[in-house]
Amino acid sequence: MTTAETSDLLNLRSVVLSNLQHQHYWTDIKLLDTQVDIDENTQNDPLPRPMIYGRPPEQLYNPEPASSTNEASSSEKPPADKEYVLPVHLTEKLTLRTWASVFDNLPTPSGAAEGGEGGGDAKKKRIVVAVVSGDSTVVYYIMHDGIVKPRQN
Amino acid sequence: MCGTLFGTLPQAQQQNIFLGLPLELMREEARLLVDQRELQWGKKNIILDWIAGSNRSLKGVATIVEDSLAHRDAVKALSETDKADILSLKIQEQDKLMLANREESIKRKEAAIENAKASGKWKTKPARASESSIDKSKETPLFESTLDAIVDGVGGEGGREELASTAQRTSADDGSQRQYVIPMASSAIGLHSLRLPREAENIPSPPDARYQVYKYLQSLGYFMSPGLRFGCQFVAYPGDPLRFHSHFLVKSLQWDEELSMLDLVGGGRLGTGVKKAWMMAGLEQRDIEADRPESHGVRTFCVEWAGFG
Repeated sequence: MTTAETSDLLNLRSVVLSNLQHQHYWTDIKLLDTQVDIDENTQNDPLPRPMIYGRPPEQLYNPEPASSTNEASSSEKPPADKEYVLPVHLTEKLTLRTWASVFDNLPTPSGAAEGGEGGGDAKKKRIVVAVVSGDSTVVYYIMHDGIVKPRQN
Repeated sequence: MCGTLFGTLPQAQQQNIFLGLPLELMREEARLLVDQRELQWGKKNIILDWIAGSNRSLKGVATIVEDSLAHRDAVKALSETDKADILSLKIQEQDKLMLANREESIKRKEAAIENAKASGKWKTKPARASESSIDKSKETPLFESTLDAIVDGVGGEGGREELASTAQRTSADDGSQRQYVIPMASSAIGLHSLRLPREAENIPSPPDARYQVYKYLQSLGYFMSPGLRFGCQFVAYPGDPLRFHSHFLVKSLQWDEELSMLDLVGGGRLGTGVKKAWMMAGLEQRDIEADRPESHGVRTFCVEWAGFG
């Protein structure tokens, strides 16, 4: 990746960052540039694309709500899970290879068996795709790695 | 796999719950059926080289036959004796049918006479006839003889001859002047099996990405149907489409095929609007140096609206 492309992606990320902070009130935001930012045990290779890690004000949709048992015992809401955000510009064209490499650099979420890709019940990786358009509108989509049942069905 | 029923009624075109036969298969479905047959037979040909052989235990079921050609060949292949057999079978059937009809009409006639006698109307007619005794003597024997002939026809082999005479046929059974019942029972001809081509020439060849994705989801138990109504390639149901709502709008891609973000956004938004997830999938091609060269499977990504923004 050339430096020009990298700086484009970093600018893109700053747009998404301010949108998340000031329009959607995300907290605990951390910028991710290399693999070390995600997992200290790995090498210092750059991520395929710069990302954001943060906590939404409310829990985003979760296919297997882990808090269902907690809700009964405590009236306090548990803090929402942190999410990985991938900024993308609307005019970009990505391939399956790119998406796969983004997911492959993410850690397996807690609760999933090690290397349990074959296990259907293993918690699947997911990211929030932030699509930025030319007028700085940002729309957010949840993308799962693997087959995950839609929420309302 | 369930295919698509497209036999419809002119007055209920949109009521697809009423659709009946014929059934149309997607190219992917037809291909899968053929491939499974080949796998079961243990044939290894060029086509199979790029198909993962994981479904070997599945039973093969299909072969591709070009309908009009196969029909023509089958008709040509009928020998003269076959034709004669079928013809004589038809004649027998026809005779049985005619006997049954005769019997019925006679019974009806008798019942009518009985009714007439009971109501007293019958007497007026013979009374008038008795004025000319010749008429009466002619009438009754004629009626009785017909009855006897029919009874004979039901019982014995010789009945056919008499029947033919009652039906006013000049020649008994030469077949040239016979008339045939048009709706034929095809079960009688079913014994002459179709000659199937050894190597099917018209194996459907759907695009590779589509077929691989179809096969993968099918192996997981999903039911696919055409995705035109939701602007995708397949609609994937978690079971019987009559019982379940579909879960995914599937778009298959080559591993390095570029996809516009607008397509992703549009798919995700449409899918969420109809309570489904939009799925993009493709056959993974890892670099040779990669850590897990054996994972050469289909990879899927499911997209839904995040609920904000």
